[in-house]
Amino acid sequence: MASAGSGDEKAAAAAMITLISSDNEKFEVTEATATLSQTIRHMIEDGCTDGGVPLPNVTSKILARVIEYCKKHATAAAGEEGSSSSFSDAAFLEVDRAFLEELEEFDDAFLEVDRATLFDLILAANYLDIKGLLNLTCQKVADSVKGKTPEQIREMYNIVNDLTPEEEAEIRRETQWAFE
Amino acid sequence: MLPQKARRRAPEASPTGTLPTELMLQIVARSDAATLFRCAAACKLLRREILSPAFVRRVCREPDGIVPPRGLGFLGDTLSIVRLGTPAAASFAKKILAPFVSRSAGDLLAQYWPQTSRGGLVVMEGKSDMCVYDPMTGERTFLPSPPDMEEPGAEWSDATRAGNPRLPWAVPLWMRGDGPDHEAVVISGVVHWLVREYVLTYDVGTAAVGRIKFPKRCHRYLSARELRLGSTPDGKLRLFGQYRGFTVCSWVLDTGGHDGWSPRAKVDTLPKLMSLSGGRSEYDYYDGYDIERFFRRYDDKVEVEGVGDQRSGVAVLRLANLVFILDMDTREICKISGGKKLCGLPLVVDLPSPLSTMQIF
Repeated sequence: MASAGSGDEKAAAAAMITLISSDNEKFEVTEATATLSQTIRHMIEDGCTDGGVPLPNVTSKILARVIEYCKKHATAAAGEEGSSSSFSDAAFLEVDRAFLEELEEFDDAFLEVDRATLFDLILAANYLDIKGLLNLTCQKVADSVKGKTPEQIREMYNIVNDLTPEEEAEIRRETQWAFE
Repeated sequence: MLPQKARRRAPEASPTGTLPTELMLQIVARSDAATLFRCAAACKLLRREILSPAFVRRVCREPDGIVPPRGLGFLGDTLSIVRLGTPAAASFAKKILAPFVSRSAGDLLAQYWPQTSRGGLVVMEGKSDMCVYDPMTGERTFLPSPPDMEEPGAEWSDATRAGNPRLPWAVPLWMRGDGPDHEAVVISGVVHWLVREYVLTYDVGTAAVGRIKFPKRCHRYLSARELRLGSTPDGKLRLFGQYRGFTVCSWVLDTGGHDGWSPRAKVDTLPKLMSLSGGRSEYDYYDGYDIERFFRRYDDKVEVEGVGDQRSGVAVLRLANLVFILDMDTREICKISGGKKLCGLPLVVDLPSPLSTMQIF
């Protein structure tokens, strides 16, 4: 049922949480939106969200995007619950499918960002423990890594190559097929 | 309200546009096998983490693991599709491995013919020499052809026989014999051949000759003609056979046990063979006969035609003009497309094993 302390379900759904970014910007979101983050869900359960939830690892720019994602997907989650009782109904299925397509379009558009932002979103999703967002952003990077050479991979992640030329040659020899 | 200063001092989000290793691993686990190997070539830390047993387990064994399980391919003019394993394995073989083999060994495959494969290595015979070829690395080692042993006075066979009067005269012929029936299995310097009622052994180092009896149970049903020899990846002798028409079984020679052999797997292939042959689209494989008539007509038995890769535990089965492969370890059966004859030499394609033996620097 409703989470800690609140007996009335409606009140819990409408409860607002304040998130505070690293640059001290405040964001008011519904509990339903905020609890897509397991980290925040636990804070709410522990009753330590009064006066706002400080998120020192997340800038306002990134937090705004994260909240955008959570709002959309919180609606999706609510929609799923609503229709689950009559899922055999063709009309409902139709609505669901349309909604899922819309969600997919949203996700695709959401991912149209530069790499630095994408990495920041991954870090935020990881810190806030938002599984869907972490999966989405990691998959986006994974798709873009495919086909890249080790040198391009280093560039992408800002990795310093600490392998000697001999070691590199040995690595190539072991799995030549992967390097062509 | 918490003081702002304490908040501000928290680590900045990706100051240099990089990610912690754990998150890089999350990304690697969502890419594909080739990308995984390339990421493992980026730097020492990432390589060590990717090759760690826990991560290898994650990418190899979980249902969505990106490293395809061991599969079987066929090497002829080119490497054809792996038919065991997951769709991911098939796609990997088709999109990455087969083109790599064609690119890196097209010349070799045009002039040399695959003879046998063990542990992923292929022995190829050419007009004037032989080659050991590794399809995964593209490496090749050339060897002079052995002298023709059927020719009278040929050096190699005479020396062997002269040193070992107990060795039956026909051994060089069996060694030389074409086709999988006569293929010798070599384990730590000891050659094993199937002869009529036993396994003949010859220790190349000590010149000792020995014989191993067949497992008691199988002896009752089978002769050497119906058995095939292979080995396990850890170097134990393995015997494949068929009884009661459609049951394929294997034994492994352990040191324990009353006759040394322990039964390892027994697979009733009939239901799967019927379903694999029975689909409407498969009619062309038996010239228009419907499946029941087909089985009634050829109701004798399935034949273990060979052992895929000697160390793989994969048996090549023949039923009339259909060819199937059976993995004794996973009990999976699949049909070789193209049906009537093998389109090359069965070859194990194994990515998980190299992952656990790759060097960490």
